[in-house]
Amino acid sequence: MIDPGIIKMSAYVAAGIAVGAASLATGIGSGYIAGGAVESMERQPQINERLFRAMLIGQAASQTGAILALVIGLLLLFGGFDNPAGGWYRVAALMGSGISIGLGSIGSGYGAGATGGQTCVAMGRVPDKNATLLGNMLIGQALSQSVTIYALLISLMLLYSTPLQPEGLATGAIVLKSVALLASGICIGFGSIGSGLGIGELAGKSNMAIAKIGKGEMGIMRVMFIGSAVTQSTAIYALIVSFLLMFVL
Amino acid sequence: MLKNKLLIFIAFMVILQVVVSLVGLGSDLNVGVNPETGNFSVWNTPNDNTIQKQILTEFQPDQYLADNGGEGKVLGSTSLYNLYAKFSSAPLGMGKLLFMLLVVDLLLLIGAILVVKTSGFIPGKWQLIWEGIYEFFEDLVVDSLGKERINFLPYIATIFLFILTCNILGVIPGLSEPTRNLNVPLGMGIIANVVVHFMMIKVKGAWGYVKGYAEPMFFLTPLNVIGEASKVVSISFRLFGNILGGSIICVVISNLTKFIVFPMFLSGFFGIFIGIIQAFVFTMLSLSYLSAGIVED
Repeated sequence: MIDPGIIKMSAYVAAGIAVGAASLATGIGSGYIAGGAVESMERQPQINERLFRAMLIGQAASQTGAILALVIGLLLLFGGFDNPAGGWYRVAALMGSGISIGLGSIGSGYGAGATGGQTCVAMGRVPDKNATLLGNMLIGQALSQSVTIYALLISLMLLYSTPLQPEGLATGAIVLKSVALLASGICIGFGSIGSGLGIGELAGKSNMAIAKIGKGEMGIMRVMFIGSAVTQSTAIYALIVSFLLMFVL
Repeated sequence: MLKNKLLIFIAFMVILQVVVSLVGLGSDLNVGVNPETGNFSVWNTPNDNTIQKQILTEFQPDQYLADNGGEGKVLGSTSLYNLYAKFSSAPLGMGKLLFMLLVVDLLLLIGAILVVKTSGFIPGKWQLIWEGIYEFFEDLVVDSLGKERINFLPYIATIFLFILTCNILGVIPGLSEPTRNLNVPLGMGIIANVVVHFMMIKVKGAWGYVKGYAEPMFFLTPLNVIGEASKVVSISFRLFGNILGGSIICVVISNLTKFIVFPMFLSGFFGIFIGIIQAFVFTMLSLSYLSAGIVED
Protein backbone atom coordinates (compact mmCIF):
# COMPACT_ATOMS: atom_id res chain seq x y z
CA MET A 1 0.00 0.00 0.00
CA ILE A 2 1.25 3.45 -0.88
CA ASP A 3 -0.11 6.95 -0.65
CA PRO A 4 -2.68 7.63 -3.44
CA GLY A 5 -1.01 11.01 -3.83
CA ILE A 6 2.06 9.35 -5.32
CA ILE A 7 -0.06 7.61 -7.96
CA LYS A 8 -1.79 10.89 -8.80
CA MET A 9 1.55 12.67 -9.00
CA SER A 10 2.79 10.10 -11.48
CA ALA A 11 -0.40 10.46 -13.53
CA TYR A 12 -0.01 14.25 -13.69
CA VAL A 13 3.62 14.08 -14.80
CA ALA A 14 2.70 11.46 -17.40
CA ALA A 15 -0.14 13.61 -18.76
CA GLY A 16 2.27 16.52 -19.09
CA ILE A 17 4.82 14.45 -20.96
CA ALA A 18 2.19 12.90 -23.24
CA VAL A 19 0.57 16.11 -24.46
CA GLY A 20 3.78 18.15 -24.45
CA ALA A 21 5.87 15.73 -26.48
CA ALA A 22 3.06 15.00 -28.90
CA SER A 23 2.41 18.68 -29.59
CA LEU A 24 6.06 19.29 -30.44
CA ALA A 25 6.25 17.34 -33.66
CA THR A 26 2.63 17.85 -34.70
CA GLY A 27 3.20 21.59 -34.72
CA ILE A 28 6.16 21.21 -37.08
CA GLY A 29 4.22 18.83 -39.31
CA SER A 30 1.14 21.03 -39.61
CA GLY A 31 3.33 23.98 -40.50
CA TYR A 32 5.06 21.91 -43.16
CA ILE A 33 1.70 21.18 -44.80
CA ALA A 34 0.77 24.86 -44.76
CA GLY A 35 4.16 25.69 -46.32
CA GLY A 36 3.62 23.19 -49.12
CA ALA A 37 0.15 24.58 -49.77
CA VAL A 38 1.48 28.14 -49.98
CA GLU A 39 4.17 27.08 -52.46
CA SER A 40 1.56 25.40 -54.65
CA MET A 41 -0.83 28.32 -54.44
CA GLU A 42 1.86 30.56 -55.84
CA ARG A 43 2.45 28.13 -58.69
CA GLN A 44 -1.23 27.50 -59.50
CA PRO A 45 -3.39 30.40 -58.30
CA GLN A 46 -6.50 29.03 -60.04
CA ILE A 47 -6.83 25.98 -57.77
CA ASN A 48 -6.43 27.96 -54.54
CA GLU A 49 -9.68 26.70 -53.03
CA ARG A 50 -8.89 23.05 -53.66
CA LEU A 51 -5.42 23.48 -52.17
CA PHE A 52 -6.84 25.21 -49.12
CA ARG A 53 -9.27 22.33 -48.56
CA ALA A 54 -6.50 19.78 -49.05
CA MET A 55 -4.34 21.68 -46.54
CA LEU A 56 -7.08 21.62 -43.90
CA ILE A 57 -7.80 17.91 -44.42
CA GLY A 58 -4.11 17.09 -44.30
CA GLN A 59 -3.56 19.08 -41.12
CA ALA A 60 -6.55 17.46 -39.42
CA ALA A 61 -5.32 14.00 -40.37
CA SER A 62 -1.75 14.75 -39.28
CA GLN A 63 -3.00 15.79 -35.85
CA THR A 64 -4.44 12.35 -35.14
CA GLY A 65 -1.40 11.39 -33.06
CA ALA A 66 -1.67 14.52 -30.94
CA ILE A 67 -5.38 13.91 -30.42
CA LEU A 68 -4.68 10.38 -29.22
CA ALA A 69 -2.06 11.77 -26.83
CA LEU A 70 -4.57 14.34 -25.61
CA VAL A 71 -7.03 11.51 -24.90
CA ILE A 72 -4.49 9.58 -22.86
CA GLY A 73 -3.60 12.84 -21.08
CA LEU A 74 -7.25 13.52 -20.21
CA LEU A 75 -7.72 9.94 -19.04
CA LEU A 76 -4.63 10.26 -16.84
CA LEU A 77 -5.94 13.52 -15.36
CA PHE A 78 -9.61 12.63 -14.92
CA GLY A 79 -9.79 8.84 -15.28
CA GLY A 80 -9.79 8.22 -11.55
CA PHE A 81 -6.38 6.58 -11.16
CA ASP A 82 -5.93 6.96 -7.41
CA ASN A 83 -6.62 3.43 -6.22
CA PRO A 84 -3.75 2.68 -3.82
CA ALA A 85 -4.14 -1.09 -4.37
CA GLY A 86 -2.07 -0.85 -7.53
CA GLY A 87 1.05 0.06 -5.59
CA TRP A 88 4.32 0.97 -7.28
CA TYR A 89 3.36 -1.11 -10.33
CA ARG A 90 0.57 1.35 -10.98
CA VAL A 91 2.87 4.36 -10.50
CA ALA A 92 5.31 3.00 -13.09
CA ALA A 93 2.57 1.93 -15.49
CA LEU A 94 0.92 5.37 -15.51
CA MET A 95 4.26 7.06 -16.14
CA GLY A 96 5.05 4.53 -18.89
CA SER A 97 1.73 5.05 -20.63
CA GLY A 98 2.24 8.81 -20.81
CA ILE A 99 5.80 8.44 -22.12
CA SER A 100 4.69 5.83 -24.66
CA ILE A 101 1.99 7.86 -26.39
CA GLY A 102 3.95 11.11 -26.02
CA LEU A 103 7.08 9.86 -27.74
CA GLY A 104 5.04 7.68 -30.10
CA SER A 105 3.24 10.70 -31.53
CA ILE A 106 6.46 12.51 -32.45
CA GLY A 107 7.28 10.38 -35.48
CA SER A 108 3.83 10.33 -37.01
CA GLY A 109 3.27 14.01 -36.25
CA TYR A 110 6.25 15.04 -38.36
CA GLY A 111 5.90 12.16 -40.84
CA ALA A 112 2.26 12.84 -41.66
CA GLY A 113 3.18 16.51 -42.02
CA ALA A 114 5.90 15.65 -44.51
CA THR A 115 3.43 13.55 -46.51
CA GLY A 116 0.88 16.34 -46.55
CA GLY A 117 3.41 19.03 -47.44
CA GLN A 118 4.89 17.12 -50.35
CA THR A 119 1.40 16.18 -51.56
CA CYS A 120 0.40 19.86 -51.59
CA VAL A 121 3.48 20.62 -53.70
CA ALA A 122 2.63 17.71 -55.99
CA MET A 123 -0.93 19.00 -56.39
CA GLY A 124 0.46 22.28 -57.65
CA ARG A 125 2.41 20.39 -60.31
CA VAL A 126 -0.48 18.30 -61.67
CA PRO A 127 -3.83 19.95 -60.92
CA ASP A 128 -5.82 17.31 -62.84
CA LYS A 129 -4.74 14.48 -60.53
CA ASN A 130 -5.75 16.18 -57.30
CA ALA A 131 -8.33 13.58 -56.19
CA THR A 132 -5.89 10.68 -56.60
CA LEU A 133 -3.16 12.57 -54.77
CA LEU A 134 -5.51 13.46 -51.90
CA GLY A 135 -6.49 9.80 -51.49
CA ASN A 136 -2.84 8.75 -51.58
CA MET A 137 -2.00 11.40 -49.00
CA LEU A 138 -4.62 10.06 -46.58
CA ILE A 139 -3.33 6.51 -47.10
CA GLY A 140 0.25 7.60 -46.49
CA GLN A 141 -0.65 9.51 -43.36
CA ALA A 142 -2.64 6.55 -42.07
CA LEU A 143 0.32 4.24 -42.71
CA SER A 144 2.70 6.54 -40.87
CA GLN A 145 0.25 6.71 -37.98
CA SER A 146 0.01 2.96 -37.56
CA VAL A 147 3.12 3.05 -35.34
CA THR A 148 1.38 5.64 -33.15
CA ILE A 149 -1.51 3.20 -32.93
CA TYR A 150 0.91 0.62 -31.51
CA ALA A 151 1.99 3.19 -28.91
CA LEU A 152 -1.68 3.87 -28.12
CA LEU A 153 -2.25 0.13 -27.69
CA ILE A 154 0.61 -0.13 -25.20
CA SER A 155 -0.63 3.00 -23.41
CA LEU A 156 -4.14 1.64 -23.00
CA MET A 157 -2.80 -1.72 -21.83
CA LEU A 158 -0.56 -0.01 -19.28
CA LEU A 159 -3.54 2.01 -18.06
CA TYR A 160 -6.07 -0.77 -17.82
CA SER A 161 -4.48 -4.20 -17.75
CA THR A 162 -1.37 -4.06 -15.57
CA PRO A 163 -1.20 -6.57 -12.72
CA LEU A 164 -1.81 -5.38 -9.16
CA GLN A 165 1.20 -5.45 -6.87
CA PRO A 166 1.03 -8.60 -4.69
CA GLU A 167 1.29 -8.25 -0.92
CA GLY A 168 4.51 -9.05 0.88
CA LEU A 169 6.87 -8.87 -2.09
CA ALA A 170 10.57 -8.14 -1.65
CA THR A 171 11.62 -4.59 -2.53
CA GLY A 172 13.95 -5.78 -5.27
CA ALA A 173 11.17 -7.67 -7.07
CA ILE A 174 8.86 -4.66 -6.87
CA VAL A 175 11.53 -2.35 -8.30
CA LEU A 176 12.33 -4.81 -11.09
CA LYS A 177 8.74 -5.21 -12.27
CA SER A 178 8.03 -1.49 -11.96
CA VAL A 179 11.05 -0.67 -14.08
CA ALA A 180 9.94 -3.27 -16.64
CA LEU A 181 6.52 -1.60 -16.91
CA LEU A 182 8.12 1.83 -17.32
CA ALA A 183 10.58 0.46 -19.86
CA SER A 184 7.83 -1.05 -22.00
CA GLY A 185 6.38 2.43 -22.46
CA ILE A 186 9.80 3.92 -23.23
CA CYS A 187 10.56 1.10 -25.70
CA ILE A 188 7.54 1.54 -27.96
CA GLY A 189 7.78 5.32 -27.60
CA PHE A 190 11.31 5.56 -28.97
CA GLY A 191 10.81 2.65 -31.36
CA SER A 192 7.98 4.34 -33.20
CA ILE A 193 9.68 7.71 -33.80
CA GLY A 194 11.87 6.57 -36.66
CA SER A 195 9.26 4.47 -38.39
CA GLY A 196 6.69 7.26 -38.30
CA LEU A 197 9.17 9.74 -39.78
CA GLY A 198 10.36 7.28 -42.40
CA ILE A 199 6.96 6.18 -43.62
CA GLY A 200 5.77 9.79 -43.79
CA GLU A 201 8.75 10.77 -45.95
CA LEU A 202 8.23 7.66 -48.09
CA ALA A 203 4.57 8.46 -48.75
CA GLY A 204 5.39 12.09 -49.55
CA LYS A 205 8.16 11.05 -51.97
CA SER A 206 5.89 8.57 -53.73
CA ASN A 207 3.24 11.25 -54.22
CA MET A 208 5.92 13.52 -55.68
CA ALA A 209 6.95 10.67 -57.96
CA ILE A 210 3.38 10.23 -59.18
CA ALA A 211 3.24 13.94 -59.93
CA LYS A 212 6.60 14.04 -61.71
CA ILE A 213 6.38 10.85 -63.76
CA GLY A 214 2.65 10.85 -64.51
CA LYS A 215 2.20 7.10 -65.09
CA GLY A 216 2.62 3.79 -63.31
CA GLU A 217 0.70 4.90 -60.23
CA MET A 218 -0.16 1.36 -59.22
CA GLY A 219 3.48 0.31 -59.30
CA ILE A 220 4.55 3.29 -57.21
CA MET A 221 1.81 2.61 -54.68
CA ARG A 222 2.76 -1.06 -54.41
CA VAL A 223 6.42 -0.22 -53.80
CA MET A 224 5.24 2.29 -51.20
CA PHE A 225 3.23 -0.39 -49.41
CA ILE A 226 6.13 -2.86 -49.34
CA GLY A 227 8.56 -0.13 -48.32
CA SER A 228 6.37 1.01 -45.47
CA ALA A 229 5.90 -2.58 -44.29
CA VAL A 230 9.68 -3.02 -44.11
CA THR A 231 10.14 0.39 -42.48
CA GLN A 232 7.54 -0.56 -39.91
CA SER A 233 9.43 -3.68 -38.89
CA THR A 234 11.62 -1.86 -36.35
CA ALA A 235 8.49 -0.51 -34.66
CA ILE A 236 7.11 -4.05 -34.59
CA TYR A 237 10.29 -5.22 -32.86
CA ALA A 238 9.74 -2.50 -30.27
CA LEU A 239 6.13 -3.62 -29.87
CA ILE A 240 7.19 -7.22 -29.26
CA VAL A 241 9.81 -6.16 -26.69
CA SER A 242 7.19 -3.98 -25.00
CA PHE A 243 4.83 -6.92 -24.69
CA LEU A 244 7.65 -9.07 -23.31
CA LEU A 245 8.52 -6.42 -20.73
CA MET A 246 4.91 -6.03 -19.73
CA PHE A 247 3.75 -9.60 -19.43
CA VAL A 248 6.70 -11.98 -19.33
CA LEU A 249 9.40 -10.35 -17.21
CA MET B 1 -29.25 36.39 -45.85
CA LEU B 2 -26.90 37.56 -43.12
CA LYS B 3 -29.87 38.99 -41.24
CA ASN B 4 -31.58 35.58 -41.27
CA LYS B 5 -28.50 33.86 -39.94
CA LEU B 6 -28.19 36.46 -37.20
CA LEU B 7 -31.85 35.99 -36.25
CA ILE B 8 -31.44 32.21 -36.11
CA PHE B 9 -28.35 32.60 -33.96
CA ILE B 10 -30.09 34.98 -31.54
CA ALA B 11 -33.12 32.67 -31.30
CA PHE B 12 -30.79 29.77 -30.61
CA MET B 13 -29.02 31.68 -27.84
CA VAL B 14 -32.37 32.63 -26.25
CA ILE B 15 -33.58 29.01 -26.36
CA LEU B 16 -30.27 27.94 -24.89
CA GLN B 17 -30.55 30.38 -22.01
CA VAL B 18 -34.14 29.27 -21.35
CA VAL B 19 -33.10 25.62 -21.32
CA VAL B 20 -30.12 26.32 -19.06
CA SER B 21 -32.19 28.33 -16.61
CA LEU B 22 -34.95 25.69 -16.64
CA VAL B 23 -32.60 22.80 -16.13
CA GLY B 24 -30.07 24.44 -13.85
CA LEU B 25 -26.38 23.74 -14.05
CA GLY B 26 -26.12 21.39 -11.10
CA SER B 27 -29.16 19.24 -11.83
CA ASP B 28 -30.58 16.79 -14.34
CA LEU B 29 -33.85 17.07 -16.23
CA ASN B 30 -36.07 13.99 -15.84
CA VAL B 31 -39.17 13.19 -17.90
CA GLY B 32 -41.54 10.44 -16.85
CA VAL B 33 -43.54 9.23 -13.86
CA ASN B 34 -42.27 11.07 -10.81
CA PRO B 35 -41.62 8.46 -8.08
CA GLU B 36 -42.49 10.95 -5.32
CA THR B 37 -45.84 12.26 -6.53
CA GLY B 38 -46.84 9.40 -8.85
CA ASN B 39 -47.81 11.77 -11.68
CA PHE B 40 -46.39 12.06 -15.17
CA SER B 41 -44.30 15.19 -15.07
CA VAL B 42 -41.03 16.94 -15.78
CA TRP B 43 -38.79 17.47 -12.76
CA ASN B 44 -35.22 18.21 -11.77
CA THR B 45 -32.94 16.12 -9.62
CA PRO B 46 -29.67 17.45 -8.27
CA ASN B 47 -26.63 15.68 -9.65
CA ASP B 48 -23.15 15.18 -8.29
CA ASN B 49 -21.47 14.43 -11.61
CA THR B 50 -17.73 14.57 -11.52
CA ILE B 51 -15.70 14.06 -14.69
CA GLN B 52 -14.44 10.70 -13.46
CA LYS B 53 -17.98 9.46 -12.85
CA GLN B 54 -19.10 10.77 -16.23
CA ILE B 55 -16.28 8.97 -18.04
CA LEU B 56 -17.00 5.77 -16.13
CA THR B 57 -20.75 5.77 -16.81
CA GLU B 58 -20.22 6.72 -20.43
CA PHE B 59 -17.50 4.26 -21.37
CA GLN B 60 -17.58 1.46 -18.76
CA PRO B 61 -21.19 1.26 -17.54
CA ASP B 62 -20.79 -2.30 -16.27
CA GLN B 63 -17.75 -1.33 -14.20
CA TYR B 64 -19.75 1.57 -12.78
CA LEU B 65 -22.66 -0.69 -11.84
CA ALA B 66 -20.31 -3.21 -10.24
CA ASP B 67 -18.72 -0.44 -8.16
CA ASN B 68 -22.13 0.75 -6.98
CA GLY B 69 -23.57 -2.71 -6.35
CA GLY B 70 -26.02 -2.76 -9.26
CA GLU B 71 -27.59 0.59 -8.43
CA GLY B 72 -27.21 3.87 -10.19
CA LYS B 73 -27.98 6.14 -13.07
CA VAL B 74 -26.68 4.85 -16.37
CA LEU B 75 -27.98 5.09 -19.93
CA GLY B 76 -28.83 8.68 -18.99
CA SER B 77 -31.48 7.90 -16.43
CA THR B 78 -32.50 5.47 -13.71
CA SER B 79 -35.87 4.59 -15.21
CA LEU B 80 -34.32 3.69 -18.57
CA TYR B 81 -31.86 1.42 -16.80
CA ASN B 82 -34.66 -0.26 -14.85
CA LEU B 83 -36.50 -0.83 -18.11
CA TYR B 84 -33.38 -2.40 -19.62
CA ALA B 85 -32.76 -4.61 -16.56
CA LYS B 86 -36.35 -5.87 -16.79
CA PHE B 87 -35.85 -7.27 -20.28
CA SER B 88 -32.27 -8.46 -20.31
CA SER B 89 -29.55 -9.70 -18.02
CA ALA B 90 -26.78 -9.15 -20.57
CA PRO B 91 -24.00 -6.65 -19.75
CA LEU B 92 -25.16 -3.10 -20.18
CA GLY B 93 -22.34 -2.10 -22.55
CA MET B 94 -23.30 -4.89 -24.93
CA GLY B 95 -26.99 -3.97 -24.82
CA LYS B 96 -26.11 -0.36 -25.63
CA LEU B 97 -23.85 -1.46 -28.50
CA LEU B 98 -26.51 -3.71 -30.01
CA PHE B 99 -29.11 -0.96 -29.72
CA MET B 100 -26.84 1.51 -31.51
CA LEU B 101 -26.07 -1.05 -34.23
CA LEU B 102 -29.81 -1.53 -34.73
CA VAL B 103 -30.19 2.25 -35.09
CA VAL B 104 -27.44 2.25 -37.71
CA ASP B 105 -29.11 -0.61 -39.59
CA LEU B 106 -32.43 1.19 -39.48
CA LEU B 107 -30.87 4.39 -40.84
CA LEU B 108 -29.18 2.51 -43.68
CA LEU B 109 -32.45 0.71 -44.46
CA ILE B 110 -34.33 4.01 -44.57
CA GLY B 111 -31.61 5.36 -46.84
CA ALA B 112 -31.96 2.37 -49.16
CA ILE B 113 -35.75 2.78 -49.34
CA LEU B 114 -35.30 6.51 -50.01
CA VAL B 115 -32.95 5.74 -52.89
CA VAL B 116 -35.54 3.47 -54.50
CA LYS B 117 -38.43 5.86 -53.90
CA THR B 118 -36.73 8.99 -55.18
CA SER B 119 -35.15 7.45 -58.28
CA GLY B 120 -36.84 7.36 -61.62
CA PHE B 121 -36.40 7.77 -65.35
CA ILE B 122 -36.19 11.56 -65.01
CA PRO B 123 -33.48 12.27 -62.41
CA GLY B 124 -34.41 14.63 -59.61
CA LYS B 125 -32.34 16.48 -57.06
CA TRP B 126 -31.92 13.46 -54.77
CA GLN B 127 -31.06 11.07 -57.54
CA LEU B 128 -28.14 13.29 -58.51
CA ILE B 129 -26.75 12.93 -54.98
CA TRP B 130 -27.12 9.12 -54.95
CA GLU B 131 -25.58 8.82 -58.39
CA GLY B 132 -22.73 11.11 -57.37
CA ILE B 133 -21.94 8.85 -54.40
CA TYR B 134 -22.17 5.74 -56.60
CA GLU B 135 -19.90 7.19 -59.28
CA PHE B 136 -17.34 8.25 -56.69
CA PHE B 137 -16.98 4.66 -55.47
CA GLU B 138 -17.12 3.29 -59.00
CA ASP B 139 -14.15 5.47 -59.97
CA LEU B 140 -12.32 4.46 -56.81
CA VAL B 141 -12.75 0.72 -57.42
CA VAL B 142 -12.03 0.90 -61.16
CA ASP B 143 -8.89 2.98 -60.55
CA SER B 144 -7.37 0.61 -58.04
CA LEU B 145 -8.70 -2.83 -58.98
CA GLY B 146 -9.36 -2.49 -62.70
CA LYS B 147 -12.54 -2.65 -64.78
CA GLU B 148 -12.95 -6.43 -64.56
CA ARG B 149 -13.22 -6.41 -60.76
CA ILE B 150 -16.10 -3.94 -60.56
CA ASN B 151 -18.01 -6.56 -58.52
CA PHE B 152 -16.10 -5.39 -55.42
CA LEU B 153 -18.02 -2.11 -55.55
CA PRO B 154 -20.91 -3.19 -53.23
CA TYR B 155 -18.46 -4.45 -50.61
CA ILE B 156 -16.35 -1.28 -50.60
CA ALA B 157 -19.39 1.02 -50.60
CA THR B 158 -20.98 -0.97 -47.77
CA ILE B 159 -17.87 -0.65 -45.59
CA PHE B 160 -17.79 3.10 -46.16
CA LEU B 161 -21.49 3.76 -45.60
CA PHE B 162 -21.66 1.56 -42.50
CA ILE B 163 -18.61 3.12 -40.80
CA LEU B 164 -19.69 6.62 -41.82
CA THR B 165 -23.16 6.15 -40.32
CA CYS B 166 -21.61 4.69 -37.16
CA ASN B 167 -19.20 7.61 -36.76
CA ILE B 168 -21.74 10.36 -37.39
CA LEU B 169 -24.31 8.83 -35.01
CA GLY B 170 -22.50 10.29 -32.00
CA VAL B 171 -23.45 13.82 -33.07
CA ILE B 172 -27.07 13.17 -32.06
CA PRO B 173 -27.43 13.62 -28.28
CA GLY B 174 -28.28 10.44 -26.44
CA LEU B 175 -26.86 8.14 -29.11
CA SER B 176 -23.29 6.86 -29.14
CA GLU B 177 -21.04 5.66 -31.91
CA PRO B 178 -20.92 1.85 -32.18
CA THR B 179 -17.34 2.23 -33.47
CA ARG B 180 -16.16 3.44 -30.07
CA ASN B 181 -16.62 -0.14 -28.83
CA LEU B 182 -13.53 -2.13 -29.86
CA ASN B 183 -15.65 -5.09 -31.02
CA VAL B 184 -17.01 -3.26 -34.07
CA PRO B 185 -13.71 -1.91 -35.53
CA LEU B 186 -11.95 -5.18 -34.78
CA GLY B 187 -14.69 -7.10 -36.56
CA MET B 188 -14.50 -4.77 -39.56
CA GLY B 189 -10.70 -5.06 -39.64
CA ILE B 190 -10.86 -8.85 -39.55
CA ILE B 191 -13.44 -8.86 -42.36
CA ALA B 192 -11.29 -6.56 -44.51
CA ASN B 193 -8.16 -8.71 -44.02
CA VAL B 194 -9.95 -12.04 -44.50
CA VAL B 195 -11.31 -10.80 -47.82
CA VAL B 196 -7.77 -9.80 -48.89
CA HIS B 197 -6.26 -13.20 -48.02
CA PHE B 198 -9.15 -15.13 -49.57
CA MET B 199 -8.79 -13.21 -52.82
CA MET B 200 -5.01 -13.63 -52.78
CA ILE B 201 -5.38 -17.42 -52.52
CA LYS B 202 -8.04 -17.38 -55.24
CA VAL B 203 -5.96 -15.28 -57.65
CA LYS B 204 -2.44 -16.57 -57.01
CA GLY B 205 -3.26 -20.15 -56.02
CA ALA B 206 -2.33 -21.74 -52.69
CA TRP B 207 1.37 -22.21 -53.53
CA GLY B 208 1.75 -18.72 -54.91
CA TYR B 209 0.13 -17.33 -51.77
CA VAL B 210 2.53 -19.21 -49.46
CA LYS B 211 5.50 -18.22 -51.64
CA GLY B 212 4.46 -14.59 -51.35
CA TYR B 213 5.53 -14.65 -47.72
CA ALA B 214 9.13 -15.40 -48.68
CA GLU B 215 9.50 -12.27 -50.78
CA PRO B 216 11.66 -10.34 -51.43
CA MET B 217 14.05 -12.68 -49.54
CA PHE B 218 13.36 -15.91 -47.70
CA PHE B 219 14.69 -14.79 -44.31
CA LEU B 220 12.09 -12.03 -44.18
CA THR B 221 9.29 -14.61 -43.75
CA PRO B 222 8.67 -14.09 -40.00
CA LEU B 223 8.62 -10.34 -40.58
CA ASN B 224 6.03 -10.71 -43.34
CA VAL B 225 3.83 -12.90 -41.15
CA ILE B 226 3.96 -10.42 -38.24
CA GLY B 227 3.36 -7.57 -40.68
CA GLU B 228 0.22 -9.23 -42.00
CA ALA B 229 -1.05 -9.79 -38.45
CA SER B 230 -0.30 -6.21 -37.44
CA LYS B 231 -2.42 -4.94 -40.34
CA VAL B 232 -5.54 -6.10 -38.48
CA VAL B 233 -4.40 -4.31 -35.32
CA SER B 234 -3.44 -1.05 -37.00
CA ILE B 235 -6.49 -0.74 -39.25
CA SER B 236 -8.97 -1.42 -36.45
CA PHE B 237 -7.24 0.46 -33.63
CA ARG B 238 -6.92 3.54 -35.84
CA LEU B 239 -10.70 3.78 -36.21
CA PHE B 240 -11.29 2.81 -32.59
CA GLY B 241 -8.75 5.26 -31.17
CA ASN B 242 -9.97 8.19 -33.20
CA ILE B 243 -13.65 7.73 -32.45
CA LEU B 244 -13.15 6.86 -28.76
CA GLY B 245 -10.72 9.75 -28.44
CA GLY B 246 -13.19 12.19 -29.95
CA SER B 247 -15.98 11.11 -27.64
CA ILE B 248 -13.76 11.22 -24.53
CA ILE B 249 -12.62 14.73 -25.44
CA CYS B 250 -16.26 15.77 -25.97
CA VAL B 251 -17.31 14.37 -22.57
CA VAL B 252 -14.44 16.03 -20.69
CA ILE B 253 -14.72 19.43 -22.41
CA SER B 254 -18.52 19.40 -22.05
CA ASN B 255 -18.10 18.88 -18.34
CA LEU B 256 -15.51 21.62 -18.04
CA THR B 257 -17.71 24.15 -19.89
CA LYS B 258 -20.97 22.99 -18.24
CA PHE B 259 -22.47 21.91 -21.59
CA ILE B 260 -22.79 25.44 -23.01
CA VAL B 261 -22.30 26.12 -26.77
CA PHE B 262 -18.72 24.92 -27.21
CA PRO B 263 -19.40 21.14 -27.12
CA MET B 264 -21.66 21.45 -30.16
CA PHE B 265 -18.82 22.57 -32.43
CA LEU B 266 -16.51 20.04 -30.83
CA SER B 267 -18.84 17.13 -31.48
CA GLY B 268 -19.41 18.47 -34.98
CA PHE B 269 -15.66 18.44 -35.59
CA PHE B 270 -15.02 15.00 -34.14
CA GLY B 271 -18.28 13.41 -35.26
CA ILE B 272 -18.60 14.71 -38.79
CA PHE B 273 -15.15 15.84 -39.96
CA ILE B 274 -12.95 13.22 -38.26
CA GLY B 275 -15.75 10.67 -38.74
CA ILE B 276 -15.80 11.14 -42.53
CA ILE B 277 -11.98 11.15 -42.77
CA GLN B 278 -11.60 7.98 -40.72
CA ALA B 279 -14.37 6.15 -42.62
CA PHE B 280 -12.65 7.13 -45.88
CA VAL B 281 -9.23 6.08 -44.56
CA PHE B 282 -10.58 2.68 -43.48
CA THR B 283 -12.19 2.15 -46.88
CA MET B 284 -9.12 3.29 -48.80
CA LEU B 285 -6.83 1.09 -46.72
CA SER B 286 -8.94 -2.03 -47.26
CA LEU B 287 -9.12 -1.23 -50.97
CA SER B 288 -5.35 -0.65 -51.16
CA TYR B 289 -4.53 -3.85 -49.28
CA LEU B 290 -6.77 -5.65 -51.74
CA SER B 291 -5.20 -4.06 -54.81
CA ALA B 292 -1.65 -4.53 -53.49
CA GLY B 293 -2.50 -8.20 -52.91
CA ILE B 294 -4.26 -9.23 -56.09
CA VAL B 295 -3.61 -6.80 -58.95
CA GLU B 296 -0.85 -7.87 -61.34
CA ASP B 297 0.99 -5.39 -63.51
